[in-house]
Amino acid sequence: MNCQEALDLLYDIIDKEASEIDAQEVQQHLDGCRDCFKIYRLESSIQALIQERLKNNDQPANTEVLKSRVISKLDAIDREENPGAPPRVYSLVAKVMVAVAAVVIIIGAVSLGSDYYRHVSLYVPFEEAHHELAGQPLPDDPPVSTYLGLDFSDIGARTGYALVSYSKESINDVEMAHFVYSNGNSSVSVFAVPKDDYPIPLDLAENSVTRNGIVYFEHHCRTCHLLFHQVDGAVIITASEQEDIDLFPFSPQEKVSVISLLLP
Amino acid sequence: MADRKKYAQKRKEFEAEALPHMDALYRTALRLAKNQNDAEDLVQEAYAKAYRFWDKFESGSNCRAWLFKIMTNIFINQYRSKSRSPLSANIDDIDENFLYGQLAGSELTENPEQALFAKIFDDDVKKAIENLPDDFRMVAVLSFLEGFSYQEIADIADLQLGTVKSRLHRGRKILQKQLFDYAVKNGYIKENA
Repeated sequence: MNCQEALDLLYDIIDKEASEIDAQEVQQHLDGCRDCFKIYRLESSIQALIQERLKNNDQPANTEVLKSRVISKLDAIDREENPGAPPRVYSLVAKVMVAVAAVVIIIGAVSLGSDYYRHVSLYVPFEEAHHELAGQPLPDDPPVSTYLGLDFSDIGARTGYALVSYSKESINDVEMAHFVYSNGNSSVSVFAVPKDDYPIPLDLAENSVTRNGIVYFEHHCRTCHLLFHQVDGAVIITASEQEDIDLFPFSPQEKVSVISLLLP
Repeated sequence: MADRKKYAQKRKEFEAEALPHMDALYRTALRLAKNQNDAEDLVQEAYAKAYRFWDKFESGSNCRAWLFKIMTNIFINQYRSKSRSPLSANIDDIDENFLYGQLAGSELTENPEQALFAKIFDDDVKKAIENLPDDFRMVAVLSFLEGFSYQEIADIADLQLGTVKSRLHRGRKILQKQLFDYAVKNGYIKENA
């Protein structure tokens, strides 16, 4: 084997892809050729360096949070593909994990203040609440039509989606009303909360859109689309997993005269 | 009832087979997507897709490679930046054995381990990897970080074997050039006149 042949096999040898025969011949050549030996030594040192440094760099910050999010995704798929299945034990486990994770996140948000933790703690609970309720049937009680003085009864007519569930949810420790609308294929959540309890997150300020004189704030992530806006004393958050659903028609836009809290 | 049982069985199987690979998928996702939010989304989307297509997975085959294939696909279709990196234009300017030529006779070629390991840090390598154009970074991460073979990478990224080799080769050259420039800039080594 000459120098050129030995060097042609350099990366095959380094990547352990060379055949045993080739490897033996290269070794014989290197035993007698100082120059090629030096090239091999330098290249394999660099390779070892890159591999080791890359691995060192990969201590995931918080795989428990990620794991709980994956689990709730699986739960959502289970519900979607197998409606009518009873709640399963592992989803309870997942909820406990989410709760634990939330505490970790809050601590993390305080101590690190990073964008990542803020992102998770602000927006993920909406996604999760949306996942939780989507697909669940409406209770027998009469549907809620007003909350915080806002009329929700005309959303169905405006959008062609039907109200399929409502409940009171605690999101980031703030209690809010949660309405889910569905057209059979996709669903949209509408959250409503007194504005003093849940001001619109400041970091959304640069994503504002004005429609019909109302300023909306948008937040996009890979799996969710959130729209925030304020009507009188209420903050409304609409949420969908699908980018292409127009969320604006789902927002109650005017205060109605009858102020009542129908939610228990 | 039978359906329900079957479904629970599927979930149990999936959790046992697929979930243990999450840490590996995530560390690769971090290097591919370059930020935590996108990396998390990438892993979640991969698991959701894998779960939906779990009946397509051949029991007993390589689940880890299968999951990486799904994730790599999502990355290629949704996350890979459309614009060519400015670096890719200059790849062919880097000579074969560039590094050895630059370093011939220096301390590095005599004692490379000691000289390199003492001075190049985790972050430098991470930055250099992240600077690689997406196509090169993908094969580099699958090979260097995950230890997949050329053939496995070809299957995962849907590439010809020869393309995998040439991308790895060129990716290496760009990496070496970056690390060399870094070392020169910081005065660890002197550029040959």
